[in-house]
Amino acid sequence: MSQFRLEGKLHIVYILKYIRYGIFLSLLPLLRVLLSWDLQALLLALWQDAAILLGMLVLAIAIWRQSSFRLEEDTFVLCQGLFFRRKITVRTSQLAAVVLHRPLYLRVLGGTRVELHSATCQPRVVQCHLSKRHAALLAEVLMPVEQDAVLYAPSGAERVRFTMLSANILTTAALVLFSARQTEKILGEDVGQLLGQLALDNLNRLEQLVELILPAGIAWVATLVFTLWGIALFFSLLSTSHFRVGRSGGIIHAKGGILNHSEQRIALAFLTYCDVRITPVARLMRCAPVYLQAGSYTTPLPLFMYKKGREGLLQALVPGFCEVKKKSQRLLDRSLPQFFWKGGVVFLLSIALWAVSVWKLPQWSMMLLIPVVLGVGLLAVSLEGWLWESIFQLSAGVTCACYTKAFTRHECCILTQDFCLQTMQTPFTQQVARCNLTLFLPSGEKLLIRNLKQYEAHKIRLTG
Amino acid sequence: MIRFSPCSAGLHLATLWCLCPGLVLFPFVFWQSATAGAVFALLWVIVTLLVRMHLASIRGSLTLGELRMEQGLVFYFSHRVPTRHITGTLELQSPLGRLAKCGMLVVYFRGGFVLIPCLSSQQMHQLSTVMQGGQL
Repeated sequence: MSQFRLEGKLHIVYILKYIRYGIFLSLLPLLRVLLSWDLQALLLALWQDAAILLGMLVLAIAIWRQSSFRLEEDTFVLCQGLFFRRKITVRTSQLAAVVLHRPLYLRVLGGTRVELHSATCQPRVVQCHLSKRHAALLAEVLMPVEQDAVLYAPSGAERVRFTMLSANILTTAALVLFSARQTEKILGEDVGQLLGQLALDNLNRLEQLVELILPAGIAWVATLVFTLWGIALFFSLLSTSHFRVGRSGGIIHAKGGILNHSEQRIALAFLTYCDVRITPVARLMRCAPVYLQAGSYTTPLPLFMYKKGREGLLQALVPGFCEVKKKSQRLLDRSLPQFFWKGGVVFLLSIALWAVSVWKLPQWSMMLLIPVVLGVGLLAVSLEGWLWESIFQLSAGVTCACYTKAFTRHECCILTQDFCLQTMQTPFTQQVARCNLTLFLPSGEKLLIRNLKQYEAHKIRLTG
Repeated sequence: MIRFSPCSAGLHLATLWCLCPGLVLFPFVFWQSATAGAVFALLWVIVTLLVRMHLASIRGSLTLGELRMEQGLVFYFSHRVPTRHITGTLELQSPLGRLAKCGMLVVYFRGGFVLIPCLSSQQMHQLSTVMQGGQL
């Protein structure tokens, strides 16, 4: 790679960044006039839009002509901007991950969105649009994959489990809400309300079916959750289609997806941690998704599905990975309020609300059982944290941490020794020689282990 | 090993910096009522004293492999940063700080930073040199 040079222009689709809102704003009045079938106004709108679009196109092409990229001996340089020129330089030896995204519209236009994730904090990620050939060549030069050996490729029932574990209802709900608002803004309130009414009518029909089994209040919530989960599963199915993970020397490579074909190349040298997340769905499936973090890049989807007996396969993918065995802690003086206050508050408040509803509003009682169940779930996970939250180091320089957050238990295998520690003691924990330990990882992320014995925190080696 | 702790000049300067906003805000509160002004002044002085006591509790050491720092009165904090993890340092000195020969050292590492306030200029420079590859 020392003699290799690659340079060229960014893909023309780069100009969409500057003209996409202009396109929407120009086409919207055109659409309205077309729907009302006013030909005179249509002709005028066409001329106006043509003038606006032409101006924006000229500006965007001028910006595009000034943009370029260059791969030198040990740096990648990206030049952008017309009036305010930006030149971003990234050392190729400090790249933790290279990600190529090819959504449908880019595949049609022959482009690829390239993300270079750095091992250091700044710049965290450099993003650009290149042609398919340039992107593939760049990825191959920066992180060469010599053997395309596949270590993990889910199929059949495994694929179903993998899809279910990759689905994220909360993110989907936020995206659906955001998309609905944006659609209403773009298409106008009338059209937005029409579409919203259509969606609600269909949801109501589904709810009527569910009401045959469940009480009315819970039926509505169940319908909403089922719909969001269905959408999340659908997108997860598309993202995990033809999913393959393998390792070639010091590079982990993963590719998959139908609508959005993505390829990830992660440098093992900059791998920070391997996180096995025991989510509520993972407990039902009896297998857990595995996420990796390298430098400033955390995999958006799990790269592996871990269950008992598969340690060897995960170790082949991530050398140095050790199963985080749950160590029973000395519980005699471990703080109960610190672990149980969140779940306890939710549970007690919801129980109080439910009790009041039984007395005053019996028709809401069934629905108010839902936060009670959520509170019980939080308490159960808090109990797990109180029993097992800990951190210990193995002789190979690997640090294993087990901690809980919301409804998920994280079993984290930290493969780097490049982290900092902070301990915090309150007057109560000082009396029992316990502390809260925070690990500061190279990406800026913090892991909190609560109410640890002080000598266990001091035992953690940062050097040698 | 280099041990460090806040110098008295740095503590006096930090106390002054803490008092300044209170001095600016005091007339506005006093304008509302004398009692409110008196209470505000008392509270601000107490907070300033607590801040001074907290800063005076800072103790640290720098060895070949690790920077350690402990501080706290009621809530006790301890930081451990491996020296190979340190990406840079910043020595901050205000004009008053230059007169009093004291300042604040900011130590950057991958993922965050640590503030070491109220150091003497000599100690600040010594720590910064060692952290950037100098000899202990």
